[in-house]
This record gives sequence, C-alpha cells and structure tokens, in this order.
Amino acid sequence: MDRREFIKISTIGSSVIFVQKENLAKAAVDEPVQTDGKIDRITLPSACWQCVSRCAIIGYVENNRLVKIDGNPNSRRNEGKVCAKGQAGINQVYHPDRVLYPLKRIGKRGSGKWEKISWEEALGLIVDGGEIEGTKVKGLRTLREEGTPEKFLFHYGRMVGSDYTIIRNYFLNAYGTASIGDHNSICVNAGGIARMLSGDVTPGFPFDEAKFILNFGNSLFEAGFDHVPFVRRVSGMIENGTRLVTFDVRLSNTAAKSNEWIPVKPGTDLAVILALCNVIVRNKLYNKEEFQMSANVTIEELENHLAHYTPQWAEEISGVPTHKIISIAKEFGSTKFSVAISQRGAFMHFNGVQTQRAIYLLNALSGNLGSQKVVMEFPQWDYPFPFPDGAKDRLDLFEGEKGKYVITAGNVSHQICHMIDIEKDKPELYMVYCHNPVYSNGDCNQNARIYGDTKKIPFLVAIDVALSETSELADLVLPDTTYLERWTCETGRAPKGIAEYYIRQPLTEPLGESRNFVDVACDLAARLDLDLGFSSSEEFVRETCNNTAVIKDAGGFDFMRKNGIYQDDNTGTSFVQRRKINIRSEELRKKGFSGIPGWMPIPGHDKLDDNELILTTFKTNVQTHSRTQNCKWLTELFHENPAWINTKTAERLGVENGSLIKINSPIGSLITKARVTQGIHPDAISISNHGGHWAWGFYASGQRSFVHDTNFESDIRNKWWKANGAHVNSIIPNTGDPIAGSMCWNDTVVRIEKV
Amino acid sequence: MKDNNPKRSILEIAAFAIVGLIGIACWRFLNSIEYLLFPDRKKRLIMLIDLDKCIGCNVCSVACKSENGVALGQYRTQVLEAEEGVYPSVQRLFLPVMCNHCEEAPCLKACENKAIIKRSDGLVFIDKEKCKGLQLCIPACPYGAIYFNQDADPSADVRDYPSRAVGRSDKCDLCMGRIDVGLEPACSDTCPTDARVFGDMRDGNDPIRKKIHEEKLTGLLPGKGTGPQVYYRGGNRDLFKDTIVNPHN
Repeated sequence: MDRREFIKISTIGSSVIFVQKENLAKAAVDEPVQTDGKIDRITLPSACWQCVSRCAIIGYVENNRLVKIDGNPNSRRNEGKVCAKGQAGINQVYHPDRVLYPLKRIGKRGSGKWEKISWEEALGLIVDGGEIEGTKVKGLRTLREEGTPEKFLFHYGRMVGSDYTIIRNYFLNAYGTASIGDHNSICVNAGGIARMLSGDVTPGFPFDEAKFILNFGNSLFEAGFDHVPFVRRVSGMIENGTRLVTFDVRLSNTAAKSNEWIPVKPGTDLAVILALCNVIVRNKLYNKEEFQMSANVTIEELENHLAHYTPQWAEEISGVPTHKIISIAKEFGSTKFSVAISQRGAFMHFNGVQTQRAIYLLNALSGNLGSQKVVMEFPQWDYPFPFPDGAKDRLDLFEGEKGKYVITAGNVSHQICHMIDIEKDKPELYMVYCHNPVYSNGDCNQNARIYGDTKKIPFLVAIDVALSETSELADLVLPDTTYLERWTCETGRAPKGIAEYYIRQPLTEPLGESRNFVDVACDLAARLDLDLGFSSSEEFVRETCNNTAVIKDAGGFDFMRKNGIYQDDNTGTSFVQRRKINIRSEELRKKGFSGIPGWMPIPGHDKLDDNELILTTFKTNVQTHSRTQNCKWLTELFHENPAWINTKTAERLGVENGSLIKINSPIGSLITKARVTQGIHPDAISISNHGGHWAWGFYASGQRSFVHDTNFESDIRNKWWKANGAHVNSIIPNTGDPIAGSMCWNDTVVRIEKV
Repeated sequence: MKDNNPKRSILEIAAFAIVGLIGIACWRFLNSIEYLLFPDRKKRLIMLIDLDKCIGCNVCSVACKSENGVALGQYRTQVLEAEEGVYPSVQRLFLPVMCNHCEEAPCLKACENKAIIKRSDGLVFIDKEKCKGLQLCIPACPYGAIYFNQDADPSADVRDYPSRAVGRSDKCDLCMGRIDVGLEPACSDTCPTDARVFGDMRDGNDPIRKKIHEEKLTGLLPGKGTGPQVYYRGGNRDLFKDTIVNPHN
C-alpha cells in the first residue's frame, strides 16, 4: 500500500491494526473507524515546530491522546521523514511540568511561589495593570494612553509563519510598539548582515548538481535550517559521487560522515578561505565570465588584495597544512561545479561577518552567485485582512551600545538586558514569548539578576509551555499551547524551488487551560479596542486559505485540513537576479574594515599559553538549543554534555577521560566531565549547548516545577538518569562582533583546572 | 530373520545418508529459489542497514519508542557509536542495533511457554497472552535485544501507553501492526538518509534483496548460527565486535 493512501489505524492491546482508506485527503476528517473493542487511530496532517525547519508531519491520535508522529509523505521537502526531535514532539504535549493555567507570582521573583488565577484575571492584569505582591504595575492600556506604547517590550524566540504575521504585523503594529526583541543575534545574525552587505544576494545555483561541497562549520547532519530536507539532499548527492569536505574544530557527526574532515583552529576559517581564494585566483581556476559580470571588483584588484594571503601564511594561523589548502583550492576551482556552505561554526566569531563575506567571494569565484542565475521566490500567503500601519516608537535597547557596531539591523537582542541594566531605557511591561533569554544568551547569572530585578523590569510576563529559567522569574505566566495544539499558516520551498504551502492544525485538544498565544493576542486586541479584522488563529488560517488563489482553487481551508500541504511546480515564481555582488563593501571600508574581505585576527587568540584553550559550542543531533530538554526521549539520549578535549592536550594538562574539570573564563567557571577524544583541534575545548538546565521541568533539570492533580505522564517514575550536564553559556560573555554585534559564541579563551 | 551382514547395513546407512543429504541439499536449493518458483507464496521480511549512510541521528530509536510505547530505560533499537584513529585522521561510526528476527531464534527455543513465535513471513514476536514473564529469552539472545517491562504501575501504563505490556518480556516486532497493513516499521519509515530499508527477501523485485545477494551481505554475529535477518552493509563493523549488545537492556 502506498504511504500516501492510508489513514485510519486501530489498535488491539499491544498490536496495531491499520485500516486502509482511500486517501489522506478524504479520511483526515472522517469519523474514527469502529472496530469492536479496539482503539481507533486517527491521523491528521500538521507541521512540526521542534526546530526552525518546520517539516510537514502527520499525527496519530488514539483516545484523544497523540501517540505518534510521522513525516507527511506528500511533502516534497521532507518526503515523509522527520528527525528525532520531530518524533519526540509528543513529549512536549505530555511534559509532566507543563504550565496548565495562568500563574501569578505570590513570593519574591524566582521564589517558585505561584497562585493559580483565571484567564480573566490574567488578561485584566496585562491590559489594565494591577498589583503584584503589593507593587503596582502598569498595563497595556495605560502605557498607550500615556503615549508610551513603546514601553511594552515584546521579546520572542521562535515565532514563525502566520504566528509571526499575526503577532508582529497585526497585533504589535496595531498596538503601536516597535520595541521588539528576537533571538537573531545569538543565532545567525553575522551571516545575515554579511548577506546584507553583499547586496542581499540570493544564491541561485542548482545546488543539487554540485559535485564538490566545501563546508565551513555547518553541522548539517545534526541541525540547521531545513534540516531533514537538506540531510536528504546532501546524503543523496554523496551517494551519487559528490564530495563533501568539512572544516570544523571538532569531528562533528557531519564531519565524520563527510568524505574528509579538516580540523581548523577556532576562528581561523577566514584565513583558510582567503588562502583558498588566493590559490584559485593565482591559478586562474575561477569562472571568469560569471565573476566579472556579477562582482563589483576586478580580478586584478582581487589578485592584489589576496597576494599575501598565501597557503603558507594560512597554515601558520589555522594549522591547516599548505598542501591541503592547495589541493582543496584546486579541487574547488576545477570541479564543475563546486559550492561553499557555512553556518555558525564559521561566522559566530569576532571576525564572522568577514568570514561569511569571504565565503560569498569563494562562491562568486566559482560562478555560483552569477547575475544570470535563476532564483525562486518564496511562496506567499495572501492574507485577507488589511495590515495596520507599522509602529515606529521604540526603546533604545536593541542596537547595543551606541557606536559600538557598524550595522546591526536592530538585532542585538542578547544585550537587551545589559542595556536595561545600564539604564539606556526602561520597559514597563516586558513580555517574553517562546524564548528563554536567561538561559539562551551568554552570561546567564547576569541575565538572571537583571530579569529578576523588579526595579529594572517592573512587569515581566512570560508566555510559555513550562517554567523556563526566564519564566520562573516572571510576575505572570500564561500557559501557551504546544505547537501540536495550534493553528498556523506556513510556507516552505522544496528542492528546485517548488513552493510548499502547508498548515499547522491542532492534533489534540489543548491540555488544561493552555491557550494559543495568538488567540490570546486577539483577545488582548479586542480588550484594547484594536480592530485586527479577525478574532482567532483558526479564523485567520481559514480565511487565509480561502483567500490565497492557488489554495482556494485546490479546495481552500477544507483541502488544507485534510491534506496539510499544497504544492505546485508552477506556484513558485522565478526571477533572474541581476544584482551585483558587493565583494567590496564601501560601508565597511569607510568604517575602517577591509572592504574586500581580509584577515581579521581574534583578540587574545594568537598567543595561547599552555593552559589556555578556545571554548566553542555546538548543537547535538537530538536537541535544539534550549527548548527540547523537557522531551524525555531526547534527554534520555542526551543529558550530559561533557567538554571535548584533544587527547594530546589532555595529556599535557593531566586530564583523564571522564574526570571532572573546572573551566575558567573571564566571567565565571563551570565544572563538567572531560571527553578526551582524538576528534578535536588541540587548541579547542568544545561543549555542546542543551545541558545544565536549572528549570524547564523534571526531565531537563531533575526538578519538578509543580505537580498537577492529574498525572498524564506515567513514565516519569522511569527516569533513570541523574546528570543534567553543565550550561556552557554561563561562562561566555554577552559580547558582540564589531560589525554586526552578533554573539561571539566561539571565541572565549578559557583555562582548565583539574578538580 | 536377523540380517548378520554388517557390510550391507553400513552400505545401506551410507546410501540413506547420501540420499538424505541430497534431499536436504535439494530442499535448501528449492527453498532458495522458491521466490522464483512461487513469487506470491511467502514473504521473508528483512531489514538492510547501510552503515555508510547512517548519520547516527537516533530518529529510529525515538520513533520506535513512540510507536511501541517503550518505557524510559529500555530500547527496542539503538544506535551505537565508536571512534577510531589518531588526530587528525579520525572517524566516527554508527551501528544501529535491533532484534535480528533470526532464522534459528535462540529466544524462541528458550521460551518454556511457546510465547515466542516466528511467523511465516519470518517476523519473530512475543505473544503477550502466552508470555508468563519468566525472562528465559532475555539471556538466550546474543544480541541483547529483549528487555523486561517491569513498570510499577500497570494501570497508568495501560492508560498512557496501551501497547506497553507490563510484566512481560518485550522486543522489536518489526512494528507488526504497521507492516500488516503495508506500512513500514516506524524506524525505517522515518530514516532521513534511507540508511534503514525494510524489504522482502522473497520478492524478486526488491532492490535490497538484490543488494544482499550481489554484495554477499551478512547480519551481526554470523558465527552464532542464529541466521539474523537484519543485514548490514558498509562501515567498519569490526570496531563494534564486542559491543553490539544493546547496552540499555
């Protein structure tokens, strides 16, 4: 039977019986099949949200309990596949420490003392203000009436698809605040700013036809944008003979599954890339026609600029052997065709913007960014409700300290609490949504101090599915639905630019009194007499489906509820990109940086003494940064995050595998186990994210937030692991790179002590 | 009358033996080409795990837990890891392990209650009605693929995890319920690189059957004579020589 054709499933005791139906479309909203004494299994299409990739999924429901998730086989993006995080999404719903009703603080901030209140009271507090533990707080209405709507600061982590549109473009604009924080500066902002400086160039090359992929610091087999779809593409290409070569400080699983791993000293990818360009230009291995047509520098200028970036020079800095740089450069230049990819490992450094710009240069040399390349536009929903005017009023908290960074695009959100601390500005109502800034930014102790200070942040409201390190400090916690209990319009782009429209719909009734925050925002708007044009997320999704031409023709909302996805080869519009690529950036040159990407050493990295190592962080394959440690199946697989340290370095420092070490950074120290391995650069020490939660529930931290009357997770007594790992962000300062103000995750010099 | 000719009886025995051996050989030969003679007659379900393709993402073990309500602390399938080499020439390998649905399943022989059944399609499963929880099968399995459901609160489990059989031995059943309606087992179904492929050894058109024959692929611990029906390809399995046993069970 074709996977596309099943839908109804029943179970008897332990064995599952599936009942075949005509197709997914028809059966999704059918009544459950009654098979005497057996449990019915119903399937519904929806969308994942465990990570940014948001694959299309189908959920299986038995007795109103979500029991299993599979990839939606109709999607040409993830082709019926999801990753471990996607499979464990169920754990988000039945997480035993979920917040199931609105909570109001009754002790000091962070004391863990809460009062269960009604939604009516909670929304009243937000709109009209009131008293929290004897202190008066201002509500949204007052701030607006006083002419200071910008004192409502909204800070989100993951807000995607129509959730983003509804909250940001409708609700926050209608209200009138542009004080909006995000998580870009701790994510990939250096890469984004590099792209902006290069002229918003969209790579338009036929990636799937590449025969040589050069990867700088991208753990694509573990995480990343479009994770599962990209894994499928790249692994298929490797099987068909494409060579993948990975530069990384660490033998990531991606490096291990590449044809070749080339270890590089942290923060020196830029030197290697410049030397690769040097060899390519000297040996005339570039695509001359494409390069000259698309770049704003001539080959001669480039040759002069690169002249002293020789492979020998790069070897001294990066430790990558000269012969290796030459052979990789020749392979890159002579393979038809080759492509360079990257991620945070390359660009979340002090010199990250220049590194990413150098990667653009590498791609421009091989003709990938040519002016004649066809680019597919991202599919767009046609929202039927008129947008309110954009809000302009904004607190001065989002660009970092004045004059410190060249171009931030307002995205230095990891320094918001520092800016509040030094009293650059002050929000009255600080709302945190699907984000955990205390844990996810650097310097966690400092963050906790500021978020815990009622004088700095008078009214802190968290919208969360469980009590995180941030929401446990809040004055008011609103219980959000998980992504498996809500409505969203989503779009994606499959290989070859195929447009994919899909929706997220509830697979199960929201647990307890939890409410989708998008619906709550609609309620808040109504109480503030703001007319958004719609009153719920379901209405918004329904009307948008029925208003978007291609979806309407296919059957509108009903079609999408049954199928989950609509995709059509013809819906993606393509255009020929005729932009020039700014290989030279005048903006950077004026500010004293190298206009054409040039070497930019990281302060303190050139002379490391015997006990100094460079600390880098990474993601493992079964966790997202901070949001999935409450998922029992994931944390069972990954709950300890030891420090990776090279065997020779460990010998020198007298560190044994599995022994405890103390890692001292300029702002603090942590104690964790050493993982002594041959698979890391001798100058690096690497600790994954995800560990060391001190909140976020029993599976993440070993501590219950509170116990519910009804236990809906009987597995909790089977938790066998005791260790929760260490949180590496605590010892990384909240710095910013000098161009974009992006977090320098991978630059901290640390000292090691035996414990 | 008693036949006193020892020579003749030895010849007779030898002849019988030869005929017998030829018979067995013929039977085996016919068996091996059975799928050609009777293409629809029987299935022989197999799994091919390609270690070159496995990226160690662990989705198989999580998907399995979800589909089969497997408790924390236990796994029906897991991905083992090993590192080899000296910096900078280092490799890491992944080895997914699971029940091998053996032709000569030692667990089946060890069970006193005939609770372990090998179906005609080759799938080996534990009949939860017949299992008395004696756990004789657990040490009998050289792959460590069987565990015991010793959860303390059966009522909660029945409510939250109807498929968890408390007080019984348990193991991979190739997602029997899924495959009986033509779906794939949860693990191979979701494998992002198609490193796990589910197939039928008797289906002449099955690409993995072809691969297994052409590349003479085998399962784990071939020396044990268990006839594992989970085949492996690529990678350096020797690295896992002594550690293929599921460490959790």
